[in-house]
Amino acid sequence: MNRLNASGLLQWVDDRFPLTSTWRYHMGEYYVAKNTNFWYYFGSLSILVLIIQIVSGLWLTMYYQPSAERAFSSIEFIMRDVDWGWLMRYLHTTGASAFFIVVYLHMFRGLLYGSYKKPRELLWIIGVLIYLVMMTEAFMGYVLPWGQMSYWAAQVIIALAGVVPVVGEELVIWLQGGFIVNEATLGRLFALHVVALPLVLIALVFVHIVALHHVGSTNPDGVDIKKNKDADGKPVDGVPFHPYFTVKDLFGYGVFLTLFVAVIFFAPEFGGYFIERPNFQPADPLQTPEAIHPVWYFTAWYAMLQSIPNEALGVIVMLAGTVVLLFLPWLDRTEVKSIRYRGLGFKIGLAALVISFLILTWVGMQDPEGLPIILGRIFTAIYFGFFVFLWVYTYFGFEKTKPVPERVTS
Amino acid sequence: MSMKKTGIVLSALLTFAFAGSAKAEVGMMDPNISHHDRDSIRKGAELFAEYCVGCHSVEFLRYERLMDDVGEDEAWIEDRIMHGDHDLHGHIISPMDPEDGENWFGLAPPDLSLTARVEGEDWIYTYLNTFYVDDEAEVGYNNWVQEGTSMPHILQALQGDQKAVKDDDGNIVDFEMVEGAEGRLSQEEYREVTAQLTAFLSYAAEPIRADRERMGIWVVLFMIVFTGVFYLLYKEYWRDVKK
Amino acid sequence: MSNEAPDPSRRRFLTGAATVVGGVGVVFAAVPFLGFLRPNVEARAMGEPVEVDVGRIDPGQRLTFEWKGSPIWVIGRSDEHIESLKSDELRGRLRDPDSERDQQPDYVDPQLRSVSPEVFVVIPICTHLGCIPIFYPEMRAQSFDDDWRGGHFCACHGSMFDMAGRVYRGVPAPTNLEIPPHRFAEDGAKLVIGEDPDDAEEGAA
Repeated sequence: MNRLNASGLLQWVDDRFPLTSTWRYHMGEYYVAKNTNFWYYFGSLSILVLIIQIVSGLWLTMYYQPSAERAFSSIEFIMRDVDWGWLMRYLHTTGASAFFIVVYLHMFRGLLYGSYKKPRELLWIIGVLIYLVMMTEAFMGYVLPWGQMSYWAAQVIIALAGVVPVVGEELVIWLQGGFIVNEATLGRLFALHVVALPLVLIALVFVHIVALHHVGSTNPDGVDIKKNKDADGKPVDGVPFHPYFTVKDLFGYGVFLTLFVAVIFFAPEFGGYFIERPNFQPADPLQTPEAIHPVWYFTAWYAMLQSIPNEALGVIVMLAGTVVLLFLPWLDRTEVKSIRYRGLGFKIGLAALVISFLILTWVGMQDPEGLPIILGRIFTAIYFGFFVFLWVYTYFGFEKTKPVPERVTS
Repeated sequence: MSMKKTGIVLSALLTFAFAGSAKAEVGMMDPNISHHDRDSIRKGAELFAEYCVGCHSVEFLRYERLMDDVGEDEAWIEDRIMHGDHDLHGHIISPMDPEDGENWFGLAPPDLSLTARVEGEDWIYTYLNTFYVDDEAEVGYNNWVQEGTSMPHILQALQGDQKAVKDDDGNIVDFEMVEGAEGRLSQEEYREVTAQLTAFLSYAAEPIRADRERMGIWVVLFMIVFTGVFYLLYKEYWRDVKK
Repeated sequence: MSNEAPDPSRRRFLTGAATVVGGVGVVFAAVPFLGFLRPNVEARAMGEPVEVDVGRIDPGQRLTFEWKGSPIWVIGRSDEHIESLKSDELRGRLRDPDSERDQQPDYVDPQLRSVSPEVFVVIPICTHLGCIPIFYPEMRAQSFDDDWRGGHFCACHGSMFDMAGRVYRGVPAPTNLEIPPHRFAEDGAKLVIGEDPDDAEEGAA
């Protein structure tokens, strides 16, 4: 007879489910380079924010009513008449912006240290898909409060489908479920926002992590730590994820959550950037707000749309802005991963890309006239120019890289 | 301090909001209120019940919530806030039929629950302070914040009449009282009264705000302790790792 | 750069401290999520006492009100009803004639189960499975009982209660019907459901 104890129970489970081996593979014996820096916090932070969004969203769904008549007032009901409802709402609105902040920084890390290069091409592509789903999810969630900005954002964004040749007009009506954005539109966006897209998002995040743990994490030197193993077969430059990176990431969680709660409790509207003022006005299909622009995390793409005088072309350019990221692993032909050992051209190019994205983000918040339009065109060109330049620069061997060390540096 | 001076100082602070606007000479005015000041909110609520609720609802605020948040009892809410028989749990709804409002003013008086979040405190306060005599306006008064406003100057008895001082281009640069048409209150008292009304409307837009901020201090302090402890733990473990 | 040997006691202490702080954090974080599930302001308002006008209620008459979302019946009882409720003949057929089980405020009469003998206030929800019984005030033979003294019959599973909501023997319902707290406002015509009488302490003695 088996003695009933912890190791006996564990053995019983392990015979039926790969618990210990999974733990070892993903945590206890998953080796990460010991020289990872600040930029490596944002992957695990994205998971934290995803959990915050799922839990707060689940709670909001308990009272939110997806009808044109009740949507706006049900949110005010949650904010005023349900205990802690205001906190759930601010968790969710602040979480949406925080999600984009950490994901943008996470993507920037990928660019800095060549996280998209062989053998991580698929990992990168899954990541870009996560970003695309996240944007769709965020847009749909933004419509749900059924305020003025919600309503008109839905109207403007869905109308973009009108540029599709021949069937465009029909397509818009079909997407809206009516001739204008209406309750049927709200109903379908709600269903997609709370059920379909979260499922897709969770599945993609799962696959992202599976792919990551298969190929291993990068590091700021772009060195493959698996090439240098000690007698036990452990990477000399790596440390196990658990406990070393669990404690490190928990510290990162602490810093992040300190800032996060500070925003929630002291500036949940964040000066109109996280919750926009006109959205405290119920949707009015008969009156457009004075200025419509999307929330800050979309404004760079919106600026591209507005910069192009032709509507159809504008939509294509806007979509191309994210789609081009999918091809990045093949546009960049240099094998050196980390920016530390890459040529000056790459450094300048990446800086230009980041600056143009930031300026486009600002441009997207301005009225589309005068200087913003000019800046929008210039920096849209620079944004896409980066990718063209990168291919030319690396394909024809213009880049002068520095030697990559054998081992990680401290 | 004249309104002109206030206007110049504030318009300097707020130029981003009015960049390029011809109205830069008179600026948005700061009511200087705190959402932690329960006394102002209470007085503002009393003023609202006296002058505003005849036309404007605060459809998301309940009598009971207001009573609890300003620390008053049922006697106060019944005597000072409710007009007629209302449910204590009910929302503050104006007795005016919106259709009548539309007939009388050409526009149904808007609900004011969230005005402070849509327009801001400065907007409300400045609006209440910049009614001026205008013979061309249908109601006899115009407003600097909202030109052609359809709202009559309901606080005229308190403020009296003021007229706009315009420069050569016809821009309003200042306001001055019409002689012999002073109101019951001095200018300073009127500012205080309108600031209290603003405080009430700001409270009504987000009743939890004061509590939220009080609570937030403790949450942030806790998170700092949390972060500190995990920083020490992280450093402790990473002593194993040879650089 | 630090290559000192790890200090096991310091590590244990910090791990403990982090567990405590993390645990406290999780408990704090759970508070809003659990608090959110409490009744909201509108639901709570339903738990407030309701004041109703019962005027001169006739014997055998029934008025229905709502309190905490449940129906409340206010029933007029005749002198015959009251006499019958105290009779040994009826008491012998009841499971708990003296209201020993805690189904009523302690200031009501144990047999009549109300503040006023003539006005009976009850939550008409069968203590068996929660059906609402049918009210039969007449004191005459019924299809379900040959010697009916007036009361309530639950059609779901045949439970019977008398004019004081006391349960009969031999029926599925285990206890008497529940009596809500109630009191009469000073003029006697207004009934307040959900509030104890001002002199509740003395009344219970």
